[in-house]
Amino acid sequence: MSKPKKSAPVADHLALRGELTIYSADTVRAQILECLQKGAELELDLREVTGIDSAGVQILMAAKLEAHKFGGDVRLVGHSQSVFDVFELLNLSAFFGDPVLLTGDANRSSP
Amino acid sequence: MAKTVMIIDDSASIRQVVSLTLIGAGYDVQEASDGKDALNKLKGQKINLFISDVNMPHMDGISLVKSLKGHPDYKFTPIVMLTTEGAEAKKQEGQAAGAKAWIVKPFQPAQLLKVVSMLVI
Amino acid sequence: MSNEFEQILQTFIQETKEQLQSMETSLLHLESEPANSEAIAAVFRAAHTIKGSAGLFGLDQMVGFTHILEDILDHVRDGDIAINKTLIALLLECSDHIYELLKVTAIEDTEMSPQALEREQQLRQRLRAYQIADIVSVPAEVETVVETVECEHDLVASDLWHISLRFSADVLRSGMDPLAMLRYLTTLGRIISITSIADRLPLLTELDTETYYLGFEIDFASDADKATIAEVFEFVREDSVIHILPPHSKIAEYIQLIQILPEADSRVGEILVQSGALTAQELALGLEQQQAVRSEGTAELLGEILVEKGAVELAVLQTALDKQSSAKEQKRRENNYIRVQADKLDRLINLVGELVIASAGTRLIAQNSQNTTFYESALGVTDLVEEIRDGALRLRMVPIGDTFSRFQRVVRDISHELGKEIELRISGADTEVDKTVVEKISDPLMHLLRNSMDHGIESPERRVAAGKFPRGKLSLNAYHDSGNIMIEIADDGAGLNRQRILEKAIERNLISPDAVLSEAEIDNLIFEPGFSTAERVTSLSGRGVGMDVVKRNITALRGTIQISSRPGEGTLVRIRLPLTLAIIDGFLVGVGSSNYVVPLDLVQECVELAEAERAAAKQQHILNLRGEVLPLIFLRHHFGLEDGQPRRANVVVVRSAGCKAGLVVDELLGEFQTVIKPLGKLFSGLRGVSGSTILGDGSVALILDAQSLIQLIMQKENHNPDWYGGEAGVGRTQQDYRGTLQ
Repeated sequence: MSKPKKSAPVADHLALRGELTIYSADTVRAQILECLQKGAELELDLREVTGIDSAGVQILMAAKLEAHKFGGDVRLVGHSQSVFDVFELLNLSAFFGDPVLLTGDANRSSP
Repeated sequence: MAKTVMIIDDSASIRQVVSLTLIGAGYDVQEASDGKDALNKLKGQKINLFISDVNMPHMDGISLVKSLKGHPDYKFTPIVMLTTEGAEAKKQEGQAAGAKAWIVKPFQPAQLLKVVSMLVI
Repeated sequence: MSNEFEQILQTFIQETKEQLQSMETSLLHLESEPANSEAIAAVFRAAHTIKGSAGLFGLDQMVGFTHILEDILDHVRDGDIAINKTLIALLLECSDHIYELLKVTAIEDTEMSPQALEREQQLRQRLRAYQIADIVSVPAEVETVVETVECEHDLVASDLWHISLRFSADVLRSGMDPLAMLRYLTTLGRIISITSIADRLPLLTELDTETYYLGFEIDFASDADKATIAEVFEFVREDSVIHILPPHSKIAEYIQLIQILPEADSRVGEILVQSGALTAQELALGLEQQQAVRSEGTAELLGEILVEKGAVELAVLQTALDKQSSAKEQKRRENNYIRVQADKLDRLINLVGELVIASAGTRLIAQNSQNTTFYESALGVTDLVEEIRDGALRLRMVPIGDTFSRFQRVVRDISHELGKEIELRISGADTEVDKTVVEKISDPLMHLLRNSMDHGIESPERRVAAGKFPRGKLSLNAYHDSGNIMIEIADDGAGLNRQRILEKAIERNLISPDAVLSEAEIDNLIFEPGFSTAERVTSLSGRGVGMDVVKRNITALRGTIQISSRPGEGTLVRIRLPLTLAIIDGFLVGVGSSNYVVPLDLVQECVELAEAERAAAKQQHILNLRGEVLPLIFLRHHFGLEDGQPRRANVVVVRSAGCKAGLVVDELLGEFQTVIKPLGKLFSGLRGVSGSTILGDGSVALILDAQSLIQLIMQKENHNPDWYGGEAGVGRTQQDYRGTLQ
């Protein structure tokens, strides 16, 4: 049921960069899975995410489910503006339950 | 970062109207005069939306859609076909090839903007 | 902008001049080389581009005229219209006229001169000869606005739109991102509440990054109308499940939504309550009402509708997405129904039938009474009675659409099973037909659809190889045609394989190897008993239930069925059915002092049995009808009437299920519309009679069941039915064939 590293106090940390879209989705999925293999606790840093689409959103959500299954958690930190906008639109904060703190970057998508 | 739209049509006046409308709304616009021209101009750059006529010399819209759907950098990029009313068969052909959105010519600039903003992420 | 507009207009003028030039060059080229497809494409493209661009500048006259050209050229390109010198000359004149239009309306910005308009009229006239009428005509829909008074407690309190979205799993692959649509939605109003439904989302290890898993329940504040909101999802609605409920919708519609959505009812209900779309009381009330309806439903109208909705949720969804039909759905739901038991209705119709007969009798008496006032009054009554009859029969009429929509699901499932892509298009769903007919037509239709899917429409690979879209089209169409309902089932598959049919028919001794059949006759062979052309027996059509059963069922409804097919293009099956089974157009004949009614649609012709032929005919029970052997049934013998010597004898030639026979009678009394009364149990063993009717003078006439009469005679004579008779040439072949048998 539970993995030995379940109570590991220090979570693994992964910073995602650039566009989190369907074009990069497979790469990002593999990256996250690799981290989750090491331990079910993962912190995803979204500071450098310049754009996100539905495929990207689904990866983040599925990662959370994956970690939960093994008694861990995926926490999102440093939501960039574009991530924040999408989470607002879909009201996903409830799903992730992470404190959303806007960081300095201003990747507000034009039009 | 402005989103980029590519308009592919053999009619210069249609290209100009589309460009003018979209640039006015804050988009970057690339123009190509037919399918072949479009593929030559792509070179891996990020395109957020294609708007393409169906009937064009050298390479028509349907063939272009098929090429784009097989291209790793553009296969998930939305494509809007410009069709004329009554060209139901062409529309279906386009849809079967993977272009699910269409605008019927002649169109109003507002209509164009609406469709573009519905599709550009 | 106006400066820019001016600049673009100049581009347009320049461009159009070039297009016209290119059109002219290509047309001249075609004159010497009519088959040059590149030149044809160039002419088409020029017209297409001119029309498209002219529209941008509001040059409607130019658009209208060029559109005709484009249309014709499109057919030329497809090879439907042959290009020749006359057409080229005409097109050249048209191109000159477009130049004139450009010069006057775009460059000079003035009106066309009367002479120019006159010329345009003439050109249009000449072009009309080439315009191909659309083959598929969609019956015009008459939309009526139904005003209904709503009870307040049936409506939800929420003044928000409720939008329920379940996108197709393929939406991302087709380049559409629901995020973009939702973002655009926010420009039309404000999202008050949104719940992301992630029930289908798998763990990351199982996630397919190109598949879409999410759904949304949205409560939305907006002044936009439904069409505007629906437009946001226009490009994905085909494959997705989208519901848009306006503010203050009926609770019942929410309940329906709850049932339709893929998630558990309780979960959806919870979401709706949490988001504020429904209050807990409203939800409870809705469920209660629905329960009540269910338990009451004694297979009557309302219950039936609900049951069917449960069975065909996908079909309902699909139609609900369609703007037009959703308006119709609304209309249908808003119609007020009174539930009436079917047998009460039947009794009423039966009485009305008697009334019709009685009033006809009264009219006859009045007519003979020489009393003008009486006669006029009787005529007035007769007219009213006929109106009542029509009204009463209409009570039993139901739209055929409910039967049709059931097939959406079937087509979907079967096409999956077969690994084919097939889309079903339905038109004329509002066409009304007698309820009994609807009930009985469902199975034959299902069989025909299956047959089309199984044998007609090819696999996607073969379709692509044949230059067709991978997705096959199946269409179901209904319309009224002079007192009948026509149902058409068309597919765009491979068509019938005539060679194969012929081989099979010969192999099964259905025809002689040297028979000469027309294409239509070959096609219709598939309706013959024991015929199956499938080279490979599949789980669907090859089960032994052949097309002959379909035909028998249709014939039993007094209908006819015909098939026509074009190799490589598809097959069309056309079924003609009477609107009602309660009334029959009959042909009244007299034998001795008795009267009989032959269903008029079976009567082919009437011939007098000349004195000279009578004796021979009586002996052999056969008549030589223009070289064709016609078996005869002497009604006088068949019904055991006294063997009088009538002055004259006539033969009514009837045809049923491809067999022909002659009924020998004394008198021909003419056409006669009548209400059928079923025979009592006592007569159920009587062969050759399907019912009775009462004539205006109070006497009873039996309605002949021509089909069973013919079967009877065929059995008696023990020879193969002359099942495709008709033409003299065919008849001869048939004779030869018989000769070899005996």
